[in-house]
Amino acid sequence: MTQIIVAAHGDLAQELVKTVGMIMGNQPDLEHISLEAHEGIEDLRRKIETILKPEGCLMLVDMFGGTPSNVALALSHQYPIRVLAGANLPMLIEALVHRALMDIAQLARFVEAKGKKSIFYANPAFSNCSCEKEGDE
Amino acid sequence: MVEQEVTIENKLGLHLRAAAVFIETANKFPCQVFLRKAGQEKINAKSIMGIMTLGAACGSRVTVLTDGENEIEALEKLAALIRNRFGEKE
Repeated sequence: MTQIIVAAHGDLAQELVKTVGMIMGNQPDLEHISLEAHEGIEDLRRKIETILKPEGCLMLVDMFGGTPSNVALALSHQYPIRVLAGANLPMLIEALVHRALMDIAQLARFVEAKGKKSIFYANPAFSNCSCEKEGDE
Repeated sequence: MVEQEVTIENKLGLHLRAAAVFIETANKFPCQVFLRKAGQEKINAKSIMGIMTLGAACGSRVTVLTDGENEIEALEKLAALIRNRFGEKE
C-alpha cells in the first residue's frame, strides 16, 4: 500500500485529511504535515523523515514553490518520494482509491490527470445555468 | 457489456460520500464501470469527478454499465449498492 502524505502551510493538510476521513472513513498510511508560521525548512524535513516509510510515498503538497513543495522535492533525491503540487480533495480521494492498483510513479501521473480534470468553471458546464443567460463571461 | 437501470433512492442523491463508496466498490473489479443518466453521455464510474459531474439527485434513474472481466458480478454488486441507498439510512 503506497503511503500518502499531504503537506501544506497552516492547517490545510490536516483539514484535507480530516475531510477525506469524513467521506471515506479512516485510511491507513495517510499522513498530514503542517508547516506552522514559526517553522522552517529543517523543521519540515524532520517531520517528513520521521513518518516516511522506507518504500517511499506519494506527497501531495499545497503549492509548487512553497516550502512543503521545496522540501519534498529536495528529499525526493534521497528517498523514493513522488511529489504532486496543487493538492485538492478530488486528488486525494483518487489517490486513496487507486493506490493499491498501481506503483507510485503511475499513481502520481494518474492523480495529476485527475486533478487537472477536477478544476473547471462550473456554471457553463450546466446549460440551464441562469448566469449564462445573463451573458456572464 | 452488461447494464442495469436503477433509481437513486437515498435522500442526498449521489453525493460525495456515496460516490466514494461507489468507486471503492467499483475498483474492486477489473472490468470497466460506467454510469449513465438519461439523456447524458456515460461517465467513467471509477473516477470521483466523473460521478460528481453526473448530478444524480434522489429519484434519478441511472444505468450502471460494466464491461470486461467479472462484469456480471460487478453489475450486481453496484446495482445493489445503489438500491441499498449506499448504506445510508434515508
